[in-house]
Amino acid sequence: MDKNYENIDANASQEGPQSSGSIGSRDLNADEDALRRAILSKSATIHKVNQKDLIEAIDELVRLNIK
Amino acid sequence: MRLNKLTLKNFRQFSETNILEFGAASESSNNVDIIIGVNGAGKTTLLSALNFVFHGQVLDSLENPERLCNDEIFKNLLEGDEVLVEVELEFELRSVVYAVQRHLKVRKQGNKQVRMGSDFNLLNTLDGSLITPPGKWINSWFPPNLAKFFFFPGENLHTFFDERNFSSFAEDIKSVSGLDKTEMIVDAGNSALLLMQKRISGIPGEDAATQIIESINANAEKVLDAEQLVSTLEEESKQALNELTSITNYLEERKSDIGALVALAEARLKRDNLENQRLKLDEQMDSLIKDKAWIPFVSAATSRALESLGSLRDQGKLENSFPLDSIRRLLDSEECICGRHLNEGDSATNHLIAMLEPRNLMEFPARYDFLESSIKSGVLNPEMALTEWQRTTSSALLNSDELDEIDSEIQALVKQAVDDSQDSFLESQILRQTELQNLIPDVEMKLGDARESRENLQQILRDKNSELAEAEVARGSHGILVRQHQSLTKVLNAIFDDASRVKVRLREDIEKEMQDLVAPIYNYKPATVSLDENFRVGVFRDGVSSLGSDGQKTLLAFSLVLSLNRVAARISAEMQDQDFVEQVGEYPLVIDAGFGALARPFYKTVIDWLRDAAGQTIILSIDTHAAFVLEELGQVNDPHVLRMHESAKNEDYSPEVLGIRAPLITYGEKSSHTSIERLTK
Repeated sequence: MDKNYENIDANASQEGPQSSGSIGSRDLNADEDALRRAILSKSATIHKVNQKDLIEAIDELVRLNIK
Repeated sequence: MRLNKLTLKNFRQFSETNILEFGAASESSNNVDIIIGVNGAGKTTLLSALNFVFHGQVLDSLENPERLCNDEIFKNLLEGDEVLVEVELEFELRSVVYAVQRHLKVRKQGNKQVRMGSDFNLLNTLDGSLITPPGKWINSWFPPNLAKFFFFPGENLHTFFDERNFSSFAEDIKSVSGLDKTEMIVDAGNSALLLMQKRISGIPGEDAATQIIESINANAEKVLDAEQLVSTLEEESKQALNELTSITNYLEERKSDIGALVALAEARLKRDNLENQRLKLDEQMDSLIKDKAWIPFVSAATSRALESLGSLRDQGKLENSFPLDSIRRLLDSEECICGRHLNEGDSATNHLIAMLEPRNLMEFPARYDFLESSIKSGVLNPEMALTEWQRTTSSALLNSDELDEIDSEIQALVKQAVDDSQDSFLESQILRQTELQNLIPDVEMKLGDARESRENLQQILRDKNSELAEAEVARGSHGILVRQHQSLTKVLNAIFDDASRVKVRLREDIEKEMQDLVAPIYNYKPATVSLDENFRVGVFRDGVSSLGSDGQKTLLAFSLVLSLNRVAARISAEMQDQDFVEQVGEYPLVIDAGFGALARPFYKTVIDWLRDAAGQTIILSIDTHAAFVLEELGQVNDPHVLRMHESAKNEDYSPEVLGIRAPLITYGEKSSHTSIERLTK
């Protein structure tokens, strides 16, 4: 986990997720919260699939959730 | 959840059908089952059976974990024969009894147990419905990693914190709490973001569209200008053509008038010539009149003529009526020069007057001299000379008449010209026609150029518009992707931050739970429990980190597991946004061994923890430790004790040996294999 958190920090300057701790799920709007739930729920069923599939799944979820 | 009954057939040590009934929930009991068995009797197998029936897995610590079929049964099979290994469990969840069963078909292939397939069913015994798929449903409230903390292999607990064991344990914590999924999601999300970023950078965005729009606007202005120019020129051309047509028609109607104009022009030219002639004559006459040089000459000539005429009359050769005297008087007066004052009615006088018109006189002297000399020389007789003289003067008069006629003609033409000049419009139209005939080709040429220029600009505009349409689409995609990127970033941040909070809280909660539990263990020195980011447990006493003795480590491991299965389940439920975990205190806690390294005084501590931690506790233990446990539980009515019976060693066990004040009840048929007996009061 820590490795990935560091990875996220490294990506922060590239507009990746930031570990500011200031954005919790409560700060999301309805669409974004739906996306968060969809990603978490999707991950519950795809946690054994490979990273590529997960990326595609997230991509698809983003497409479906954000007009 | 509560475990009611476990049925095993041909599973590891348990041949044929063995039924293990757990104690019913009771306020008076400790809700503790103690299953006693010597080493090798199958305690770990029982724990594995629970894992197997729920999740199809057995413990790695099991000896030959790939051989699930009972060896005695297997040994008696013929090559290629198949046998069913069966595990069934009845359990209660939220007041409903479920029966889960897993049957494994095993074929004998030499000494190898080949798995040929399995059945996995889950029945709701209340309404008889099958739950499908069973695995998904079970995982939703009791995932394998969570099960590890409830079906707990407790052997060598003092080695729990060794590097190898603990790495696996930390992974389980992350799995149970959902942090591993979060980790994967955030990782995948970052990759998705990078992919999106690549796509975004590959699409022309706002700037490109803006540039094209600016270019289009500039071009559109040019097109407007060109259209304006074309329009102006078209109008100009149209007007010119209309005007030309109108003029042409008009001139066609006035063709005859044009002929008159041409005649006028010619007449003017002729008049100008004649007038020039007359002016010339007038100038000569004026000149003659001015110096009067001709007067004495004419007088002398006339005198001579008169003398000749007188002589002719005297000779009777001249008519008497010839007004010779009158002529003489006239000639005596200078006024005769003008001749205008002579009496009218006298033809001879008129004749002379005409003769004496100053303009004719210039020709007379030479003529007269000629005639006189002709008379004198006898070439001409006087009559002939007179006739000739008259002819000469008449000719002069004729010239004068001609001039008069011309003057008249000029007068007429001037009048006509004056009339025509009132129709000066006609003349202006003729001029205008010529102008237009020159102008129109010029305008047409300019119009052609303007139209071509307009076409070119319009084509550029069409091209630009199509570019813009593409750019607009691209800008739209760009915008969507950018928004998606922003939203996904935000969502991943949220997941990340939630997970970070969960992780922190998980550590804090576990620390807190453990802190309460371990206080008595290190009672001689205040101890502080601390978990690092990898959930590695540290115990600090007087600032020194030490986990203590093996017994203390065992207790610490117990405390960690008991803390975790409370905290982790709760957080797991939160992380997955599911309401799947019921009160974790209701889950059964099954511990295999775990008491080995404990000093006797700590049995009570652990028993208290267990009774506190779970609604149902099942302890798998060897006799000695079981006896100590039972001693701790002895004051409580109806301890539920089961003994795993190996027939060969059956006589070694009795309530007396175990110090248990309860009769021995045997479950299942005795065989050469393990069976289960119940010890009770």
